[in-house]
Amino acid sequence: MEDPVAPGVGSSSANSNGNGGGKGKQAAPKGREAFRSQRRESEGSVDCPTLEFEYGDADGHAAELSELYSYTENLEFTTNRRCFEEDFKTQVQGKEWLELEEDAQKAYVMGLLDRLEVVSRERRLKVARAVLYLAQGTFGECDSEVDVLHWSRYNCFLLYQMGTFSAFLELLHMEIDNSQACSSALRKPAISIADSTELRVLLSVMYLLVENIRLERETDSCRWRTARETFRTELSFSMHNEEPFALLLFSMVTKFCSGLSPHFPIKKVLLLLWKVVMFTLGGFERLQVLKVQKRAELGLPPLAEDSIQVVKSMRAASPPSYTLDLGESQLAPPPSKLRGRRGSRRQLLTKQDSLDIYNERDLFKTEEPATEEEEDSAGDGERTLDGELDLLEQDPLVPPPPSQASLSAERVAFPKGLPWAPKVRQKDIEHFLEMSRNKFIGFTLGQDTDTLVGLPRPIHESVKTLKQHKYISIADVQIKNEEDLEKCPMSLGEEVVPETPCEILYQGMLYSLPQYMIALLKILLAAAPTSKAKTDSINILADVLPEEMPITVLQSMKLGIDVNRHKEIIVKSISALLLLLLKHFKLNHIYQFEYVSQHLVFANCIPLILKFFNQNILSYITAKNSISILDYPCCTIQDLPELTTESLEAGDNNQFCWRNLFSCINLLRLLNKLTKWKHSRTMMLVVFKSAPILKRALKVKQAMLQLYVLKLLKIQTKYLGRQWRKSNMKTMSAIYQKVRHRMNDDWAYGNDIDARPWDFQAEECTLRANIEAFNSRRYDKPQDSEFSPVDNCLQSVLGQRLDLPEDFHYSYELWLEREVFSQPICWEELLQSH
Amino acid sequence: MSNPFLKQVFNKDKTFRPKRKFEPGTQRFELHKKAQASLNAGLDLKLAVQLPPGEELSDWVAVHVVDFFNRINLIYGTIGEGCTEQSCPVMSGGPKYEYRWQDEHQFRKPTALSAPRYMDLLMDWVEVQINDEGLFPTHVGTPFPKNFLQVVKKILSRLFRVFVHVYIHHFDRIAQLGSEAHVNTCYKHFYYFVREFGLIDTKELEPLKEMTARMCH
Repeated sequence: MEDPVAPGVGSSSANSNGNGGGKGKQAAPKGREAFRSQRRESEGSVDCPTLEFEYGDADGHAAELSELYSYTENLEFTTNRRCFEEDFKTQVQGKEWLELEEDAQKAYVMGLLDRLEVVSRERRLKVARAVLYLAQGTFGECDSEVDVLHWSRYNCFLLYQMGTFSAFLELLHMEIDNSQACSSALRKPAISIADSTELRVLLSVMYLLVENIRLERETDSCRWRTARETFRTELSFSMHNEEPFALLLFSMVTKFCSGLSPHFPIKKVLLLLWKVVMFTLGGFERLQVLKVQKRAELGLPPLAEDSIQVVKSMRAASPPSYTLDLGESQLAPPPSKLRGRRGSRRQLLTKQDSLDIYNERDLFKTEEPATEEEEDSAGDGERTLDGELDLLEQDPLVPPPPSQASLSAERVAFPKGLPWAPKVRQKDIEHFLEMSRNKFIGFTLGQDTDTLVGLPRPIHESVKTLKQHKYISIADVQIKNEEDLEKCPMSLGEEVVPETPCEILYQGMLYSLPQYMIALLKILLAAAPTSKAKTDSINILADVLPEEMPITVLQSMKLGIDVNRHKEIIVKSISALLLLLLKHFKLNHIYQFEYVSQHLVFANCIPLILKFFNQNILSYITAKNSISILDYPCCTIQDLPELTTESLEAGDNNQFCWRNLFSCINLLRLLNKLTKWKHSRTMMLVVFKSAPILKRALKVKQAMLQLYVLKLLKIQTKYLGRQWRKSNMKTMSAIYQKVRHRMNDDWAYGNDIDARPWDFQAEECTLRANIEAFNSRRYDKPQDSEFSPVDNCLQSVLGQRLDLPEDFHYSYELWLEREVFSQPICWEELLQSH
Repeated sequence: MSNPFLKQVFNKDKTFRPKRKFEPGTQRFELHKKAQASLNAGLDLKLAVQLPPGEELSDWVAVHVVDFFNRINLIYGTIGEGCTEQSCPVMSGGPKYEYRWQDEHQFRKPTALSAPRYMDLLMDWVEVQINDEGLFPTHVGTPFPKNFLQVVKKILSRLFRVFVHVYIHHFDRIAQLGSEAHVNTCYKHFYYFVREFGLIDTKELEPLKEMTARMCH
């Protein structure tokens, strides 16, 4: 999960990272100036320092909390405090909140929640603000940022245990349906944060509860752990016959996008939605555990490697060059070192033999050579420091030098040399045998992969090697099961589907899933830095814009930063949310994954992401759209100084922007998820000329980001032509070195531009048919079965009651136009089944 | 290549006439002669190139030609950044040998070109040959044309020139990239193959003679 800063421990680091405990922010002293100058030197050239970035479910705790608030909202911290103190004074005399016994605190919270039910909106808001102040850590009584975070967490657990969440959920329901706020927002020419005050307070409290309780720490008491699990269950499953909480938030997103509720504070909704999904379904480590479990259940062999660990131990490659005058001095190390280095490299090379050999024997036997390698790398210790990594990384066969700690158990399991064990699909073996049989015996045997009669020895050997590396994925098994269930619905009977949080979420999302995906992508588009503000695009800035527009230059500078930060946070939450959903659905059932991804593709997700990357990605990643003195919790402790140009920039020495790098990686992973093994979607990458865009992204020296870019380049290399390959050998080497090898995959050589027909329609239609069959088999209620009689009496058909959505009358005319007037009426079809 | 008889043949017929005088100073052109690192895949490349029983010669040759073309294209790609109009204004193999380009289009007469230009034309030309269904049929059963081996000889001779240029002019870069073993392995494979089936005239092999003698036993 993440790196929590334990209270009392991180105070020094919290002070140095003004931004509040974000990861990877341990830049060298004077880091900023150093980095600035580095950047200046390298402007226009290809260099960027290796980024010490650690990917995870989310940024550091403090950073995740601070992103909830926009800087325009900062004044409200004091408002909340005032509301609390006024209320507290009337209830408790002579003591402060933190001085109270736990029972007294509980009693007070009970009282607060009671007062939350008053009729007057204004008084209710005040009480809600008081609750928010508690959730924010009663900062008026704290001295340091660490204290604030500590008490925020403490108070959140307390609040949750007293039932605050369900109380706020009810208020949220009310507020969503508040038509007055809606219509007043709709009438206004310009919406500002004032239009969403209530919603923002409610959502903030809920976000703080989710985020604080979600965070796991070693020191958590037993009671807190139980509370966490209860909360997780409460959020995952429908309470009191309601839909899961995530669905309510999804419906808020679609409502916002349809323009019916433009005042919704969409950033907070998205952040909360993302965190709720992460909390209920689990983050990336949980996913890995689930995957291992599921494979065991299905009787599949355990995974050869933990991809999270493999990626962590990878190193960034130097980016491909764009100019020919790449100074030799940059590349060539001093001669003495070169000699030493080459010696060790040759040793590595000969030891390593070649690909073929390590495929054949001692596949996972790395123990003996590992000791030698350890010596090597021990000697290499210094050399990794002095900046000659470039050289090392250009060498396609040299394994990435293990980072200091990773020589332990987890690494030993991998075949040495390459980071990933090669995989072979059943399909690949079948294909290979079909080719060989066609050639040597003149006929094929379908899916029989065991009969080798009549085939020469080398083919036997190939098949043996292929089978050694055969990998059956969970998806393969699920597809097979689905086929069986389709074939014999009667004899196999009903499938037992375990009610996991993921399954429940999918069931809930199923019927409006296309709308949800379109809405998310629309917001993503509006938040992308490359998109121009258009009149018809949605306004996502309602929850940053102040009521009165800034007058001074400094104020507008601040607002400018705030707006950019706001957009970045939206991109971050959407990208993380989509990735998490896809990964969980894929594990739960492949066709659930395919359903979501097909809707993403239909909603033009592929060009959207490419468009996103078609910017100066290096400057996006190093963008500094934050003002650390205004970030929570810092801003609650210090008195806000007068804004100056210095204070706008002060105290931030980050080498890069965590959230932007995180978003970029998420979007790339998303793109990989959508295109993997999908020929027609891969061709979309070619058609949209993604190669130069992706290649530019390689400038960012971060191993994980590069890996996902390289994967995307690899799947389309075949179609880019020989010329491209020739002039991109550095990229090709990086692909070879970092991306998993697929045996018999001629990605680097193949010339079959015309060989495979590219029929987007047909491919997607086949897939769609499978998905629909799956959905209707599993989720359609049997009442509408084909055996029920057709009602053809006009009167009774017209007399049927149809449940229409409440807001149907808004879109009635549009519906009439689209669904009735523009549809040709085929009377004959009425006679056939429905 | 240590055959004294072959040497005689060479001396008589010099298309790439060694220049009498050339600057011997540049150590660079000698670098490649020390090349010997190779990948050991546990198989004897000399045996690996032999025609397997039951296999048709043209098939065997065609598959190899396409494979070599792809690999050599990539090898040139790795050093491509260092091979420019400025560094190599003339396509050559050391100070001794110079190559000229000739085709059926723009350059009907042998023309001296810069190395990158020459390589571009060469690779494009080979690609056209290989993609020609008439020359390299892809469907089982379609016969190979009568002049197939002739065309193959020309392709392989031209591809050999890429090796010559890369080894003699850009070996420093190869060593720097740590790809010496890869290039050497590819070269050995190529060399054994053309020798096995006599697909390149011995005089074309001359520029790398010394290195070959050391590397391919």
